[in-house]
Amino acid sequence: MKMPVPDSETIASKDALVSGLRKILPSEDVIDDPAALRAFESDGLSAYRQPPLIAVLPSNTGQVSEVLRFCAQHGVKVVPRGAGTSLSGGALPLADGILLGLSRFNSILDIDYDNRCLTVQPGVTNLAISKAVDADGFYYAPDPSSQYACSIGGNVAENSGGVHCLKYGLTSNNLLGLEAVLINGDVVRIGGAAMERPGYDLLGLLTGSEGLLAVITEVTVRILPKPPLARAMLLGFTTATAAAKSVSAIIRAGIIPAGMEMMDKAAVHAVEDFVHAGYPLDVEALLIVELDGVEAEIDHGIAIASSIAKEHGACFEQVSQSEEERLGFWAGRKAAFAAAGRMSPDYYCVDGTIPRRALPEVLEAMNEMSARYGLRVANVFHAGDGNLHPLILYDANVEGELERAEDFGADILRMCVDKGGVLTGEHGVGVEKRDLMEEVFSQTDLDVQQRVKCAFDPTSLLNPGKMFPRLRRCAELGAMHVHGGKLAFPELPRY
Amino acid sequence: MNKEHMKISGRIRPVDIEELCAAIVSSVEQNTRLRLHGMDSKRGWSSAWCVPAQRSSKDLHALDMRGFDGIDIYEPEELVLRVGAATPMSEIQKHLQGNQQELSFDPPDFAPLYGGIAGTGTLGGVIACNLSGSRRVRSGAARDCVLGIEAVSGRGELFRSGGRVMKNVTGYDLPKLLTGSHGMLAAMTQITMKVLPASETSVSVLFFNLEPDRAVVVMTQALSSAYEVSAAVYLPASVATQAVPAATNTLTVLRLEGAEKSLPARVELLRKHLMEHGDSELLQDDESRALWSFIGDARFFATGERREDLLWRLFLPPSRSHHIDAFVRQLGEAYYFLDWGGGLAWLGISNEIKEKRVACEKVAAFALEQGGYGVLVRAPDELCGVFGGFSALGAVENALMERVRAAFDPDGVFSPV
Repeated sequence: MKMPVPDSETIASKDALVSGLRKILPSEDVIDDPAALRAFESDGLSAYRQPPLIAVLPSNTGQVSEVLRFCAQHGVKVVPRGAGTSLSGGALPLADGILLGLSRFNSILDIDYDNRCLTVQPGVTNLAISKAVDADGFYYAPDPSSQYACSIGGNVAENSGGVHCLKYGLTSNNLLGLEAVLINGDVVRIGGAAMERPGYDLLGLLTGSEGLLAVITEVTVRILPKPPLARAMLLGFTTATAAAKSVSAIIRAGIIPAGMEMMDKAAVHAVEDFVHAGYPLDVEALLIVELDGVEAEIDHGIAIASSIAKEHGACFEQVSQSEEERLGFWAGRKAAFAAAGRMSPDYYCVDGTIPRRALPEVLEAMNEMSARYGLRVANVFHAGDGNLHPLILYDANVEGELERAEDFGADILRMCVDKGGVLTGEHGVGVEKRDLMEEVFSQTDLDVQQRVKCAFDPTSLLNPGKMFPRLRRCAELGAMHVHGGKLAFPELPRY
Repeated sequence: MNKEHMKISGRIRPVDIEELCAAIVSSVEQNTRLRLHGMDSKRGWSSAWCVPAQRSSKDLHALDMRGFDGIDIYEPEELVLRVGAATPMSEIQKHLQGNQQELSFDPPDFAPLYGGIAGTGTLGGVIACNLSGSRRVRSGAARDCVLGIEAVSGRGELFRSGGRVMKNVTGYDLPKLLTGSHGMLAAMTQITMKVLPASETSVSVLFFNLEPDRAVVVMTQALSSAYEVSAAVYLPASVATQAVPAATNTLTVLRLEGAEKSLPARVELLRKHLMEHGDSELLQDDESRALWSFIGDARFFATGERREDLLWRLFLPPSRSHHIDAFVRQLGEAYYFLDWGGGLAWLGISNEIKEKRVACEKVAAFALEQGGYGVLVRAPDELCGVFGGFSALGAVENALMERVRAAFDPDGVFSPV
């Protein structure tokens, strides 16, 4: 993975930058000690490491604004970071860049039940939001599996998902407002307790923009009343095809489950060995189908799902009879990544989305690839919305295995695109899938996106090297329109 | 009201992408502007929404997008629908209904608000205006259901963004940005939507004669309950008596939707939950549906004298929405009702009043004071765009919006009016 060539002048001026930043922030909030900077060298995509030139930890919006303005004036790159749990390298630092950590932004600012919303600082964790309103019967719906650690600011930057997206949406469907700071220091306010916002949908645009457009400093989320009851079913099948067809048939029957997860045999075995969730071991695919709401409706949904599963040859069915049992069903799924970690020194979690009906052929092709690359793969899958998470098992200490795992992952993602899907359902492009963007988008598609970037950040200082496979200067993008999309730029650097 | 602001000096109807790109490039070269339209059912809406600065004296050509229609993909089991942007809503709804599915954001039909025929309009128009109906309060807005978009920018370049899958964070979310952009960023040619199963049946729970503050409490309690209330409205007496024959005073209505077999249980739980607010009555099936189209399509303001009203949509924090009642009384010659549990207030001011601008300034200020904002969506010529979609923004936000617009359309070829 190549990053933009670090600017040696910026690196040489580190001392001057540090003293400039210390005029904005208390001395201890500007970190320049190489040992201390190691703490920020990677995020959840730990295969890539790079300490930043300097790290800063501002505590309020005014400071963020001043830091960004300072960076813009001095032409210094900035990488924003929430909790550092990105699985796509979205918070990977730059050798010549300032890492802007938002960990000090950790307060819940306002709980507004009457308008069913909550205003928080971006460093508050996803789970802390739900916990803050739990006792009053509310919750925040998107629940990425890292929810105890990941920050809401990071969720906004990545448009994070979770297991309940089909029914409750991703982050972008659960936001009402943002405060964000542009690279020039401008503070922008978008939305609030009202349901719609004036102008173009910048809330939608900023959500999932991976820290390339602005730094989020405040978030207003929508909260929902907790369903009175939830029940989960385990459904086992002797073929993945039967499981996939059941998923489609359940949805076609008009049931939108709160969650619908699938695990292949390898994942089921890995998990069962680890947490003993009570999963059947003689199945090729296992579904967890969760329904929530009032009891009569759950019963109705379960009866339909059960008869559909039987029609498709389900060989195992169990419906949770207590909250404890329901959580037990989920404990296995939630431990899938950790279970993979036990099976192998390292694993690489891939994140692609496909039209659901392509699942059987995708799983089959993945098994062939597994044999070809000589690497095992276990599959967990948000079956309801077509979001795949193959876990490729490898050993980083074996020469060449990491590269092989990455190539394997890239092949899987190319296949997703080929089947009508996309590179990433919820983990983001970051550095990880940056060089695959041209598999999905034409150069014109990417130019249109990069011009949007230019509207926010004309000198490309915010999180450069992420998302876009080629460096394009805004001036070039602007001048190009005379010739339409016909010009090629073979001379442009790729990283 | 809603007259053409500028003379159309030419009409273009491209039949394919190539012709569309050529039309846009040629418009840039000839220094003319293009006003996109499908079935032209929302012209008045867009002209009120845009700000005067976005108009110019350049020659204006109508760009008829109706060549881009037809259903490309509809896979009910995948919950995905991909259509040409100018596909009529009536055609889309016919296909969806045939498969017991729907667009969950309850697309409203505002054609009659502008003197048009009910049932006209295209999906492209609904998406370009980000129009959501009463279910928005539960199922999200139009923008939440757009999965992918193909469009041509003001540079005459075809681009795609998003996709056809439910979960996608590959690149910036341009489908959301284009939704609600009123044709000022790009000419959409194809739109991919998420569709959802339609409920088998719906029931309306009616509370009679509540004061507005009490009604907002009822709506808030209902929407904060776990009983999946899919719409909540408050109708003052003037509106209620037109909406439901049995109403003599105000009406507070909650809608629940679900399976025939299990919905009654949920309805009873909700009524029990709201018992302290007095007795409620139920409205079922056709009566319930008729009531919701009257509300969602704002038909009160499309009939009789009210057809001529200056019409506002105010987006308010629901908890403060009841203040509109006193405000409207003070304003005089005005009518309102609340949808979205108080999150949306429709407000009509009689076209007969003298100081129109002053009255409108009061409305805009009221919305801001409550922590929301308002848009004048049906305006006399002189007020078009004065209280539009950008008016409530600060200078920093407006400057950013303008840079975003220029990123798509540097020469200002797309005109919303």
